[in-house]
Amino acid sequence: MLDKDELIRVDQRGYTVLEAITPGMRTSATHSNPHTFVGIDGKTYWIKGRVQQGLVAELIAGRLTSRLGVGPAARILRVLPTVLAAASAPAELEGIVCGSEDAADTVNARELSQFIADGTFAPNLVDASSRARVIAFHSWLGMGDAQVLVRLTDGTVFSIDHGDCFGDVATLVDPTPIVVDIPGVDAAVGKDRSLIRSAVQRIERLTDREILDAVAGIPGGDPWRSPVERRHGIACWLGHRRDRLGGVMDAWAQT
Amino acid sequence: MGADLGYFSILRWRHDATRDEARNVAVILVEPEGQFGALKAAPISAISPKLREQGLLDAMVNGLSLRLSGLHGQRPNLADLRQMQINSRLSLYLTEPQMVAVPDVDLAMSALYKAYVAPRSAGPSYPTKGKILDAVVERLRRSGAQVRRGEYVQDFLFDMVIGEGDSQVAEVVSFAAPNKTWANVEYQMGHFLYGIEHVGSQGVAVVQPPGENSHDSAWQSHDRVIRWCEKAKVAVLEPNAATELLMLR
Repeated sequence: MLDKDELIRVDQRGYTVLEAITPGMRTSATHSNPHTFVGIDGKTYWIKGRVQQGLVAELIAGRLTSRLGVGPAARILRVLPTVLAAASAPAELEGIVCGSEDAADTVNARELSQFIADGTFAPNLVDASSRARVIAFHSWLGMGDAQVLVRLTDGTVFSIDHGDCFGDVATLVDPTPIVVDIPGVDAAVGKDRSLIRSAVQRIERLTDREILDAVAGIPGGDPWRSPVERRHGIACWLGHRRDRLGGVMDAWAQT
Repeated sequence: MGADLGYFSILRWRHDATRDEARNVAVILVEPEGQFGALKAAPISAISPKLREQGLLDAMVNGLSLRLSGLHGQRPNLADLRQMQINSRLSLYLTEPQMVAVPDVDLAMSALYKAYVAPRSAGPSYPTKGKILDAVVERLRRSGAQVRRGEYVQDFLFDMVIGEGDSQVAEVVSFAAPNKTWANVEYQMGHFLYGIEHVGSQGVAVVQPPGENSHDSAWQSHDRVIRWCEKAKVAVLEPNAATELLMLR
């Protein structure tokens, strides 16, 4: 049950913060201007300090992507001033921020054209089932500025960059299908009734408790925008759309 | 949580000087004033399959590791690391030192190793010759032995030369692979037995027996090699008992 008191109770478990120990020396010219850092767990993270709908959106969606196997996990990280200075990164990345695990051998679909042009990647390699999973996920979250990664080695599609979701969760609206364009790839790849059904079932199997876990244990402060009322609203919104997703996606897959 | 400041470099190996490709061999960490230092290397067999290259890499990595341990003189500081980086070139070189927060030396080394050096694939699940050699060399060094890997004695290349002189040499062979033919392993052992006759060193064979799923041919070849060693009066040890070779000297 998506109960606010239960969320407050789960919040009391707290959260784990990973230390960012050194810059990874990569940046991306996207809206949130992320920089890579190596965490104390040895993984490389794309760290953001400010996103459209607050870091709460990035973290919750990142927790859900890893839970559903549709994208890199998101973690809470701390960037010390000394580490930030070594990265020549913007000040907004200092402190308690959000990081998404770097996914090896992947490129943003927006940059895929050059890999197709030079023969590094063949568009027909794109994996239909992973694309179907991402379509279902984006539709569930009502993703704005939706983006995907494509793994060059096997064509698997991943969801990334979740800063622009949960903008308005006060009104419980049904999902609408969201399909991210992948250059050179037919929009119908992944639009298969059985693949979409299977992808939706993964989401439908998420329990209320798992949704509460995803929205609990989140730092506070301005860049996070994470008051308990908002997070409870996000949980209810996700729960509502989870229960409506099947009908919407099934109808879309038949068009 | 407070964190010390350190600097790290990656030791890289460019096996073909004509190509701009290199593999990360090890991560080196120093404290600016030399208060701590550490090195963590990938398994040498994961860097190069060639025994002589393994020998050169191993010698370099082992030398750096000893230096960073501070057991034999002053531990390098940041200035030393910068100088080492400037002096390194061609096939084996260091990247420019980069700052790292060090809340704990072991944790930081483990993280840097995982991020920059650890092989992405663990390789075959069975014990290959390379993996056994990695493990045996490490175990012997932990026991205090001086070991040189992939080194020539006179005109013969041996897997291991143990001790200060050339008094003991060793060959590692593994029959644990799912191979059907074993001629190459027999050639290796034949070369080893021929070599020790000429260099006058004591020889020890470290032999990994076939596994549960090995072909009969693996056992036939294994038994053949064991018979050769018995005839040549060469001690045979299994890898997990390899440190016993130090008692044979």
